[in-house]
Amino acid sequence: MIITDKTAPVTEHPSLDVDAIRRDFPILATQVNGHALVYLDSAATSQKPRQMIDALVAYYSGQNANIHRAAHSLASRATELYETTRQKLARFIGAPSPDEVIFTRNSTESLNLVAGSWGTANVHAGDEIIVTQAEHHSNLVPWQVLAQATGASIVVAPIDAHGLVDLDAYRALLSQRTKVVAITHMSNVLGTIAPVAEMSRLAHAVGAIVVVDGAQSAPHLPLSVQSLGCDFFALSAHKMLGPTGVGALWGRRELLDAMPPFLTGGSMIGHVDWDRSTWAPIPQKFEAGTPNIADVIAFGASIDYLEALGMESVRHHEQEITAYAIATLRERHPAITIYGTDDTSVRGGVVTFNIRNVHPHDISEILDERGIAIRAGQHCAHPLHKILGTGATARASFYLYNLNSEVDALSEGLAQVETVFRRVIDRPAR
Amino acid sequence: MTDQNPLYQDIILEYYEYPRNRGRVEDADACCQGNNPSCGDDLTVSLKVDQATIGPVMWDGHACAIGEASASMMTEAVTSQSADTARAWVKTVRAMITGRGDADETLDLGDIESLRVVRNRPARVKCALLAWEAFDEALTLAEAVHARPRESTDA
Repeated sequence: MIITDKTAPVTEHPSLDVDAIRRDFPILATQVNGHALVYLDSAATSQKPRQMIDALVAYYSGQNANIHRAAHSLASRATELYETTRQKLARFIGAPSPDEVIFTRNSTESLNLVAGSWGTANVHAGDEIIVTQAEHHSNLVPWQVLAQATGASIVVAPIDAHGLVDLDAYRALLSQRTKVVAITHMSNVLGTIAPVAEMSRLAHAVGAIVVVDGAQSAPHLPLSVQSLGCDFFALSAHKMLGPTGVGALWGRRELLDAMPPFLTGGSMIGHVDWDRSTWAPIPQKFEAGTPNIADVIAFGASIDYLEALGMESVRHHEQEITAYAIATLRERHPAITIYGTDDTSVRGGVVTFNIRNVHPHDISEILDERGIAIRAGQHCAHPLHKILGTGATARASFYLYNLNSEVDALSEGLAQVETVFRRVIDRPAR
Repeated sequence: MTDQNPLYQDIILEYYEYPRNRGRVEDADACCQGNNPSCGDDLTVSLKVDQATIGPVMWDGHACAIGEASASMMTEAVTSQSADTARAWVKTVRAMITGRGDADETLDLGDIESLRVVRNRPARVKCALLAWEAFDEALTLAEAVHARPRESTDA
């Protein structure tokens, strides 16, 4: 197994003290169906550290006020805390300015904002929107809706047999008609990492903008939107130790400044008259109404937690556990198919698999009886499953709190699946 | 297996290993799809209705062991039955699995009784009912086909 990290410079990074980390996550001490929880579904949502939960409680217990409005001290303090998270997040993703970071509900809303606002103003009949075959529905469906409304068309950039974007094929699809390239940075199904920097350079050469779905990458990779060279980057807090209900969109200032608002109403205005209004500068222009103040503030504690560990260390830990999982599952389970590349330098901590003739839902059910949480289904990526040639898959996904012993528990659970389904597994593939 | 899994009873695994009436009915009067977008289950039920008798009925596609076993059991229960009896079967299985609605106590559930275990597993209720709901829809369509003038049998 190759464990060189091409995505990051070779620097010394301390190993994670996973036992200590686990003590920060109260849920990891719970029992499920009479067994210690083995949580292998962080690609769906991560678990939460006590520090984030405490920040949420502290806000409601002692800081609650509406922001950007009243002049009283509590409101000033809440506003300051809210804006502090914006600064932390801007630094975390390597954004040039906090003003370019907009809070939303989740990655999906962030991507809808780009498609609905930038897209409606800039995409016209005959234009092309390139998406990759690895897209989650969140970075596909908003573009379909835009294409249908404008007369533009969707062009699909293929992935190769390892689940990696086929750069030559992508290059051949780019043309003066290309207006948008929508890329998932890390596939939520295959774990594969797209070469966003190279894809952005090629897209910009034909005048297209690049919109990155970072829902899976922001929690797991050292990140700089400036190095990626993209134009928009979407993420969800709940996948990166934060609360649900908060997402963010980073966009280039000149694009955000020129875009019409997405939602309108309070907070996002400059001057309002009966028949017209002007807009506030970014980021307020895109944050209509009272935002999710409490969860944004608590998200700040999650970013602090990740930064204290160091994203290089998080990435290194996940490469190791992913390599261990791929090797272990393949060695102990001959009827398994693992999707995507084995090369952990271009793969995150997502291991999607099938066992011959056993439906993923049945795998998940038997694992659940042993307290092991994985995801079964199509993972909001129906077209990708057609390409993989399977109706559904099982997915184990890892994060900074997972241990190799949990991979062993998964393997023991799969042995139980094999016991229950022995006779169908031994038959030819259906 | 030493300790029989409560959900994956031998009877369900046997149906999963040896599906009954799997495939497509040729020149079917109606075909209906049942799918479960979150877990990727996708079954198609096709059938013919001859006079007042249903048959043949077949299912095709992929689902979990519960979904596929249930689909096979459904085809066995409704084939050669009248539409009324077939509907009573659908209602009875629905009532057994969801705990809602009235069951026809006169029906002998037989192997179908094994599906009762999903009642306490909300995530599996849809799997177990998938083929039955698709059948119910297909039967309604087939009846509509027969109610129309002959030349428009384009289902």
